[in-house]
Amino acid sequence: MDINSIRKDFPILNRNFIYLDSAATSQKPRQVIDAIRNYYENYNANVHRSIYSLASEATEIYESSRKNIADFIGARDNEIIFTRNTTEALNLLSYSLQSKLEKGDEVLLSRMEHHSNLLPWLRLESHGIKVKFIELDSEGNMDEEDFKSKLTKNVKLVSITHVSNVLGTINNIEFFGKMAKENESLFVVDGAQSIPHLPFKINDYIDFLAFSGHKMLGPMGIGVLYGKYSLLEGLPPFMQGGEMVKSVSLERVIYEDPPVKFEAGTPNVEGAVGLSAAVDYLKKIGMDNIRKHEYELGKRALELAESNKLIEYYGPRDSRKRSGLISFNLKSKKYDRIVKDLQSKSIIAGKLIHSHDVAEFLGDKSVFARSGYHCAEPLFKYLGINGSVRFSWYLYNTIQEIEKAFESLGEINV
Amino acid sequence: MSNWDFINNYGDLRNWGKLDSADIKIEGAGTQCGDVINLYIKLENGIIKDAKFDGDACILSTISADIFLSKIIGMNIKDAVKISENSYLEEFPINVSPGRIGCVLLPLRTLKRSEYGKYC
Repeated sequence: MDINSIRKDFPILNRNFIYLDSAATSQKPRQVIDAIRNYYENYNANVHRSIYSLASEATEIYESSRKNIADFIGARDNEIIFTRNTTEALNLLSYSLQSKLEKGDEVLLSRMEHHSNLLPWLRLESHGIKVKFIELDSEGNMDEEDFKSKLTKNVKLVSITHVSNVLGTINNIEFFGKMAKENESLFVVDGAQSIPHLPFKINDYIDFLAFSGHKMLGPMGIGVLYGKYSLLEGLPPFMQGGEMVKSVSLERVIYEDPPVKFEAGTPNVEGAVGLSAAVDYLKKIGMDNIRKHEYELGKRALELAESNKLIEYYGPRDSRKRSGLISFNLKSKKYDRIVKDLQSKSIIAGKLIHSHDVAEFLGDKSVFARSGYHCAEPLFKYLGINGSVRFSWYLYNTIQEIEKAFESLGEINV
Repeated sequence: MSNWDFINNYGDLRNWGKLDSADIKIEGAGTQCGDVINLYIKLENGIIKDAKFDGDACILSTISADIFLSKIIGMNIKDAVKISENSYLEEFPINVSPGRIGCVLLPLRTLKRSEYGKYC
């Protein structure tokens, strides 16, 4: 993997900064930007409906993008529903599945879920569905024994994240998925943080999978819900309107077959085209190579975190169990002294410097990192910390960038 | 001077602490960040004679609370609550990014939420 030539593909990296927020959104290579421009300059028309040749070409491009993205995860194209993002994909599922769940049924999630894989399920509580949570061990892994004990016959659905966007934990979805299947529960995977970073193929134990295009070099506003075709056939649509019907009279509506049944309205064709180009780019580099590169960066990040006594980091201690990010807090030097001088038991900024302050400092040094709750506020309450700083990297980041980012942390003098 | 140089070089906090005999004790919480600042204000004939703060908040909120209390000590409480957010931000020694305006304004907004807020 030639990192210098990869970096040349990303025009934004010509600006002088270290971008360590790819878990929030990735940067885009020229190939993706060009594919979107090419679509608008040569092929733009509304898809699925009009008869003229340009509309057929646009439809062909849209549907071949779907096929390409399906191949990337080892699925069939009629199992790929385009959505805006992971959040919309999981909302679609929650609303469509609602009619299949009954009062007293249970949904099992984990303590490490992003709000996107939490709130769509919590809303079902008002319909009499109980939501339960798999506890975590001290290193931020899901507790398998706790999972087994909570996987009762009432659990009709298990929905967990493949990779935690806070802890970086790579969860053993095969274990959870197979157990869920044995229990005859539906198994849903939030792949927002894994599909962009790890080699992945759909397996029989996965019923539904959600991911976002913009975290995997594609544009914003395009995401995917994969669903087993036989399951999609039995679900009612999420939204109604244009495109998703075969026939409409005032007495009777016949819906399209999946996936179009779930894509009401004019779809985001440029998004699908851009995501397809992103998938081509990832395939060209190779997901195994990307994982290997991110793992090397992760190993270095962990070494640097462990060698700095002021850093408290979260998640597994073993790099092999982690994807491409590290969340941490920095302990303060000065505020401890102030508190001590005042002989006060109350603490300002705690023993940890507030993550927003650290991110502000890093921003001054052109190191761009995320701070706060990372849309997983209940996880932080569970861990008993008030947010964290997060470095997250991708195929275009270098070991030198990771080292420079940790070096900058050492210059914080409060 | 960068924002961080300002924060890094900010001296000891002048107004950190508690005032047991305070006439106004009020807790303020930041939006979406879990930060908490407590203000303690001692009045004499409507004039702020002394003011302290403590809590658990980011450095920007903490420094802002220190600056804010230094500014309002000696003022009439009814005038202190009238300080506008814009004028406070303009006077604040550094420019803050949109994402952190709430941190800087936390002490002012907290005071405006006190019983004297009606004089705003």
